[in-house]
Amino acid sequence: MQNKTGISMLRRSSLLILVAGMAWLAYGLIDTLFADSEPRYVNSIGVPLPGDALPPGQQVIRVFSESRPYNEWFRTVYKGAAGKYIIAEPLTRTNRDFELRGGAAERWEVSDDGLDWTFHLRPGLQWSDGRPLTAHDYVFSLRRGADPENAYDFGWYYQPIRNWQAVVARTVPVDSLGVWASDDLTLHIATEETTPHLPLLLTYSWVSPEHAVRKYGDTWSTRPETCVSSGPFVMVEWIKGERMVYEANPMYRGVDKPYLEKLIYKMFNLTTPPPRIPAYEADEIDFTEVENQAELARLLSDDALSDQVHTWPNFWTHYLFFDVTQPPFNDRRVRLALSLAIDRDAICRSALKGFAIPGYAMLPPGFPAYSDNAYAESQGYDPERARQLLAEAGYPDGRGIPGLDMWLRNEIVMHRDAAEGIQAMLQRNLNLEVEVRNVENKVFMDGLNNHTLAFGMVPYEFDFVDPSNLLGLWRSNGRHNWNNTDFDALMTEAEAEVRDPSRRISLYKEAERLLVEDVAGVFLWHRQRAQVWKPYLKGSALEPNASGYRSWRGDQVMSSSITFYLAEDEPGLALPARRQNAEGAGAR
Amino acid sequence: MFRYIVYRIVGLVGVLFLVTVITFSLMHAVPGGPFDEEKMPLSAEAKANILRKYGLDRPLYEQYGRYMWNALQFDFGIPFQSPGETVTDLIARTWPISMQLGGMGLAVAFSFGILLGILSAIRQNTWVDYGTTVIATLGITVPSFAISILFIVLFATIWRVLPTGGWGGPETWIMPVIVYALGPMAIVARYTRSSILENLRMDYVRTARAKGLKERSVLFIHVLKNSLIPLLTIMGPMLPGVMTGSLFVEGIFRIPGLGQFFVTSIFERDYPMIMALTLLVAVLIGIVYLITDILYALVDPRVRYVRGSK
Repeated sequence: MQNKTGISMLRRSSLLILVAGMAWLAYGLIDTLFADSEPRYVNSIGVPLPGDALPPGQQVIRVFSESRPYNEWFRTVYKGAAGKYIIAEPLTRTNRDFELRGGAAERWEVSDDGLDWTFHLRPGLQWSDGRPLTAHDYVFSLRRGADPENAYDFGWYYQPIRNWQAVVARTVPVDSLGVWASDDLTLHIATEETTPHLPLLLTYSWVSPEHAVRKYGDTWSTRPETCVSSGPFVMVEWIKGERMVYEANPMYRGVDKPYLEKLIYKMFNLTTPPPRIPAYEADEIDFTEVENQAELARLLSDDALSDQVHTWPNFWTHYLFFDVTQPPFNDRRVRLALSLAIDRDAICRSALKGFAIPGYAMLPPGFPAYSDNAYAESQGYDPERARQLLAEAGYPDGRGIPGLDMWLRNEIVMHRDAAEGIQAMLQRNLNLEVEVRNVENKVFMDGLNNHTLAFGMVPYEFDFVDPSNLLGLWRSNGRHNWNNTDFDALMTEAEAEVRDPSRRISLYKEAERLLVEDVAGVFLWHRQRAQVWKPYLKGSALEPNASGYRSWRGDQVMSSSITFYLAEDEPGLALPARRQNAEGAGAR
Repeated sequence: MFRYIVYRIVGLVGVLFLVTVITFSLMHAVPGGPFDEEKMPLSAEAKANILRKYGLDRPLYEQYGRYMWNALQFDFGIPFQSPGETVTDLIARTWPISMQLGGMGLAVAFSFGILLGILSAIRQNTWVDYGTTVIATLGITVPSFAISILFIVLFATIWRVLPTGGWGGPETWIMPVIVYALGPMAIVARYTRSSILENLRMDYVRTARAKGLKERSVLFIHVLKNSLIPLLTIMGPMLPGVMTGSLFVEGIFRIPGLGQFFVTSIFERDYPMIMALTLLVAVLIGIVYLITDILYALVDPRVRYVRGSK
């Protein structure tokens, strides 16, 4: 009897569970359909928020940002604050697969000879003061970049544009730059040589407002009253050294309308950065970079925080460079011996654990023309062969090579540790005396630019996703004194290849093969980024793309990665009260 | 006295001149310049344009001459690291914040320092004295950034009672002021203690006790007054440093003060700021020492400026 009742109760309860489950599924389905068809919220600039988004009043992001004096891309890049990416509309943008798409320009074409480009602007674009944004603003901006009086610090980037260097050198007037507008919506750019990646270069064309620059001068971008915006956000407050606040730009007519209502940058000084993770844990900021292994290890071992840690590869390569005109590094065998003496796997397992993957070439995985680890064998760890090569070069057992200084550019502890690992490997495997010298930025760049450093380690982080960027720095008379005419020729040929992208890629692969096989540098590792962000941050910008990368560049909330929003942690659950109460958040 | 002050001020001007010459030559002797390329080398022409814009293409003696000429008219140039404002603007914007922080720090340091000093002197060689010694030693030896991080983790991250940084209401002052005050407080406590102990053995104390004064009156009316004179000596040199901010405390607590610029100006080779800050500190030190000496004469009748046979 008792037994029977027990069974029927069991049956009854299973039935209940089943019904409840079906009801839940049905509710979920309806909820999803409902969410997709009719959003609950529309933000202040008319963008419907995703179904799980918090109300517009809570769409506020707070982040630490480095204190810098300007906010205008074409005034200065290196002294420019984070706002420069979001208050201006570039001609082109990329999506999260790094594919090119339109920005201010909706389409473009190139002449048959590959030298003359025409960009057609979207009609209806405007500045936040209501004035139209036209092709003339882009002409003005690029001229401003080249103008000797503006003394721009990023000029090398635009050198493909016709007469750029001549304008910079004051041999021709500014208005002879190969950029002009035939009407308000048509921009023409002529290049010196064929430059198939010009539209990609122009993802860095955050336009300057001609009328504001003329009226207020160089400092127009430093005050909310004069800082007009053509981008998704507009500056509403800037207390120097303290905070910058941006709000969604109601006058914005471009393609990347944000879900967010407000961005609060809390400024800090890079020389003594504030502790970021404690501020993140105290709910004062919504995301931040994880900068060392101790932090990463602690976060990963913390049950509550480990889900908030995200790591992904970055297009960033660390390498050893040489003065290849002087002994011992004028001998390729010596350079190769160094490469073979370094166990990159060991370094990435220890000193750089979680922050790097071994690299054997300049281009990192996921980058166009990536070599698919083809040089791991020929450049990888082989101490026996390394010793043999060194002996063949006339330095048996390292004899004849004086003590070497390995110069580092103001590196963080993790990279210094890795450099010391390399130091130990060169000592153990090749009997070379190496001294690691980590010097401050200015001293290092002075030596690097004047080619007075014989040996050192330095990184390069990509500017745009095209092989011409990462390989371009190895062209003759550039960053290093490895000059190779065959390499230059291949680079030039690739840049001239406008019609056949796959041939262009194979030319770059060939160029990289020359670079690696001649051991212009010893390529060591590619960096991985690690970040924490709050579980309530959602959006495609935060998700990995098809090949596992994120276009998200973190602290720089770039215009191409603003498609994120604050979501409910769980359906129906609002933000933790303490965040709502936190300074600035929630307030409009 | 007046003559003495005039002599001292004339001397200070000479010192300032020397300081400008030495600083100017040193900062130009260091490799690297304010507009070195960060990533890719610029063309020689582009580099020349930048140098020209800031007058750095001229010979050094001319740059120095121009600087001095302008400085005499209180034009200290434009900071390379923040070219949207003048050096004077920048200092006017940031220095008051450092002074506020420094002033609050000093107030805390002296009030608590003197209190601890008195306590450990009147309870010499008891647990109070030893406890104060431990606190004082910690205050001097533990670096301020270590204490800062500890405070942030405890008060902001774990207990969530204070913000990790920023500069606004009183809640943002508490941690930086305490961190800032610890070192000076420890020094003040140690000086007060030994000075009081020394005074307690003086004849005038015996006299005071002998005429039947209460121990409390002896201590607070007679001993304390005389014991605090040495504090003037240590307060003087402390002032310029404390009033111009600290790189660590300001950096870690995200305080937009002047302290950080002492370091960033050198890293950035920000010549106008390096010159301005060196001059500022030199002037402050000169003035503070002068005032200390004058105060000394006022407070302690035994100290007098004697010149020749007058």
